[in-house]
Amino acid sequence: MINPSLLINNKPINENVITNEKNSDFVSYLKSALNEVDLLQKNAAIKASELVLGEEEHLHNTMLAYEKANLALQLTIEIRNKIVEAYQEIMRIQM
Amino acid sequence: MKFLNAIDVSASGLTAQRLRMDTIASNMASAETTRVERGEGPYRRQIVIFEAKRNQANNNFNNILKEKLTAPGQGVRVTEIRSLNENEAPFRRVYEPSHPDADANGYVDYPNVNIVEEMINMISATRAYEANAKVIEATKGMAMRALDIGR
Repeated sequence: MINPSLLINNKPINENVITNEKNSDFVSYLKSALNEVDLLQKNAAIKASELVLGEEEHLHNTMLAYEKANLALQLTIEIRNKIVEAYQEIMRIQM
Repeated sequence: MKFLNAIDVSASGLTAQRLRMDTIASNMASAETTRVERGEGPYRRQIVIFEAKRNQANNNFNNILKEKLTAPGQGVRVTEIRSLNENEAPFRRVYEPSHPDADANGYVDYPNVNIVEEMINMISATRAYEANAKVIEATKGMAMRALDIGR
């Protein structure tokens, strides 16, 4: 049984990131960007189930949700590649 | 995501053309229908009325000015699916005294639907739908090319 008084100072991680440093910190910015990509993916899955259940009357909306999620993911992958490449460049500096 | 705005605009175009196709299908199916469930007279031809969407209302003058100068429209919206009544498009009267819906003079009112016109509208709606889909493909191609810059 968790002691509730111990939780008062332990806010969940998301809240800390969003409320405290907004977008001035690179890590928080990255996290919010990844959140957005994740939201697009989830939205695409929801749209697919809506289409199957008959709530979504237009097929193209579902396809476009998938395309948006795909594009966002591709972009994120490219950016990740760039970041890793930059890191490796720096690590290669001989001291 | 602002860079995907073009996709949303084209999506609204696709939706509008689909609705137009639905009304065309309804008109074609009921081209010889002399009765409606509620009301009098034959089936009335339906048309869709489109309207260009603008951005959501902005709060301050600066945003509105910037938007007027630089931002394109936000797509199309179907405002109304209107049934044309007799004043706007006359019914087709046919002399058929043996028809159960014939009036005192033996004339029957048929719907104001011109099949040929509906066929042409159907082709137009199909082509417009394809055009919007092409725009989406092109936008996606542009985004992928942009990604190739970094590869």
